Amino acid sequence: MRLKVLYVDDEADIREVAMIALELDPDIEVRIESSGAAGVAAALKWLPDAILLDVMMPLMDGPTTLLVLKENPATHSIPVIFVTARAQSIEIEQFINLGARDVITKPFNAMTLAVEVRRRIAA
Amino acid sequence: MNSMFELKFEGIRRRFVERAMDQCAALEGFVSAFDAGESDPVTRREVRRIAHSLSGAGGTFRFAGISSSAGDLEDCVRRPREPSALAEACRALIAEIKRAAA
Repeated sequence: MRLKVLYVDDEADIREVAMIALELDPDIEVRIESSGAAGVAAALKWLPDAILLDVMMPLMDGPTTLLVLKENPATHSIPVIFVTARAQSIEIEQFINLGARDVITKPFNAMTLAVEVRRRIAA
Repeated sequence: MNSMFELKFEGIRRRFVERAMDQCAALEGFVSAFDAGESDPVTRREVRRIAHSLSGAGGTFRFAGISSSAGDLEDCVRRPREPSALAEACRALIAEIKRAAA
């Protein structure tokens, strides 16, 4: 199944490695953005099948970005997966309660990221 | 193993080390502040941001030492620890970054 995935992270090297990791799956089309605001704009324009969101970003962090996406009917139902370092179980629970589909913890394995994303979207 | 992927990965990995070295300079400044007994909330927040970032990215780029030391520093800065403990955790992370860059 073809999949459009938007990856939002303020760190350039992580964005780049996520892009090449997701593109290991030839049926995943990837777009990357460097901020929550740019991510929201790209989501409205491109309507991806899934959004991967870094949690700790300057200005508009991941949870705020998620709330903005959930408030807009055009992006409300797009599954959002948080990608964050060292998430504790209470934080993961909070993210799920906010409306996130799931959480992928950094460090992620670049070789299996695409599989992990597909698995979470299918769940 | 996808050789094109590995080639691209190595390039991005090198850029990560450059970024980590830039952050190393900032961490050295924080060590001086902690050694002087200073640990204001703004400094702690910035140290936590750097540590959190290096903890996640370090492991993704296969630098287990950076990831582990950055995680220890993040844990340290989350708790009400003495500035000397923060300085020590910063030093450990700086050493790992320099080892990766060597």
